[in-house]
Amino acid sequence: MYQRINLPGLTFMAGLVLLWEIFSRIVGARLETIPSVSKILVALYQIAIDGPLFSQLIHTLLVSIAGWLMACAVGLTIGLGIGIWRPVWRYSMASIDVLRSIPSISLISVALLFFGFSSKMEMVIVVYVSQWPVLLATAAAVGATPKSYLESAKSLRLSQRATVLKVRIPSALPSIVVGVRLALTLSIALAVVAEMVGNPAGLGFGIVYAQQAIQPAQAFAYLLVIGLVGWGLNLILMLVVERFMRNHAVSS
Amino acid sequence: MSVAERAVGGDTGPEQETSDDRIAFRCRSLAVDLGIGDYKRRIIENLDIEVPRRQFVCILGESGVGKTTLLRVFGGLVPAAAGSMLEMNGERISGPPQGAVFVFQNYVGSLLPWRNARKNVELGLEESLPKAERRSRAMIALEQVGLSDRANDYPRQMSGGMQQRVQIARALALRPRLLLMDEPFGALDAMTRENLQIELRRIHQASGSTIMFITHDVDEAVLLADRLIVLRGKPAAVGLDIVSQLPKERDQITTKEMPEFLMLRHKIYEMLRGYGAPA
Repeated sequence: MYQRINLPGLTFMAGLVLLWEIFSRIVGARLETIPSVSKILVALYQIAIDGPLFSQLIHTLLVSIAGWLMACAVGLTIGLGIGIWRPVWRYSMASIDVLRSIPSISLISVALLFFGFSSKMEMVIVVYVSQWPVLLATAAAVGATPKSYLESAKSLRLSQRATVLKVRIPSALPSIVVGVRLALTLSIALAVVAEMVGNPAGLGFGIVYAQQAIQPAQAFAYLLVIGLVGWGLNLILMLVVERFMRNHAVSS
Repeated sequence: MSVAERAVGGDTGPEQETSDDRIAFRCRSLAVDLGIGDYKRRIIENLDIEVPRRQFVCILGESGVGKTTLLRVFGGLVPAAAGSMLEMNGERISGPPQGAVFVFQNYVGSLLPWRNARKNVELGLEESLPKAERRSRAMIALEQVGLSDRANDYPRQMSGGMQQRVQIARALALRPRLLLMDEPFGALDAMTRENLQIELRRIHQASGSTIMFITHDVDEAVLLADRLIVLRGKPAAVGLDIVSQLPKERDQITTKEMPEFLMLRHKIYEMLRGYGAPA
């Protein structure tokens, strides 16, 4: 999937960048809020060399990855419990539907009350929000194992335990992976948002700082870095998934 | 041209109960209900079947008569109604009986796509046998179905016929006393089906298990079976129960030219067509 370089796609992207450069030099010269690509790259170079970019990048990366891992652990554990035991599903699903419908951004203010302007608050938000897709995907997929698999397991006299471990969980894996990917995207987004409004650290704080200092080129440079972080982490995850799940026919 | 024909729905076996060693499987006054509450319908009623060891039994009937349901009762996937008696090897059964394995028509939904052929065959052995032993058993079973060179292939890399053979190997690896096959060749193309029919017949002769085989293909049933049972009626009961006098060795060409073959075929078609036709 990622082995070959997509030449037409890259060409198109280069074209867009070029258009932006031309447009910003014509229009942006008057507005000063639309920096040209070259100005953004210069700003990127500056914040990377003698600015705080590197430490901010590390902070956001650490929080997103750690938060994402914790979200996966929480979501998988609870999701498995709900998916495997029907009564758990019946008792919990109504509450889960209500809880997960609360817009994630609105939780930040509550988290601020509890934890203050801290990385703890940021982590809590990231984990809480990103565990939902994992939890829901796991519960739904483990609870909906194809009947034909279950009948095979029954006819082969597999124990309950073996049926869960060897049939139900593996057959749910492709859906779980979808949940895990969504969680990764969410954890990066939530880390940045939490940094913008709550925790004064990381790339999110960097972008707000650049905005308040009226440095549009710097703000765009941060945007570029955040985009690359999301793209890179997702790429790594997909490569790992592809490596270990070749026979599950996962589609990207 | 001798065909031993049994009385319709009659009770034919020896009256001495349970400990008859020759009988692999027995059901008496079997009834099956499907659905719940107001939607409960009696599908099968008052069915008596007694299957000696090593017999290859084909069960026929028009679609919707309850063939598959019957087999699922035998396999313990559907419960029988109260008052039914089911016995395997002299023991009463309720859940999936020890020594009975299902082969489903839907091989795609039955093999696990994340396991290669050998691992699929090993699935039923993993809780009872150590690694080396189950591996050798799986390889023997794959050899029985002619797939020992495809052991490391995944289902999606195989044709439909091969996948169905893997499913048969998975059942054989458990050394089943009773093999329950629900239209196993129904989804395969004609050529593959014909080859697999002969292969299954050969496997049956070599393995010594009892087979209950459901099909709606009369030629297939006559070609394969030692004994043919036609279900009919609503609720269904045994309409015809014939022991085939065809030689044990069968093939696609000469067996089908034998007078016995044609006679059995004729009798079964008569029974299938005769029922429910406009008067």
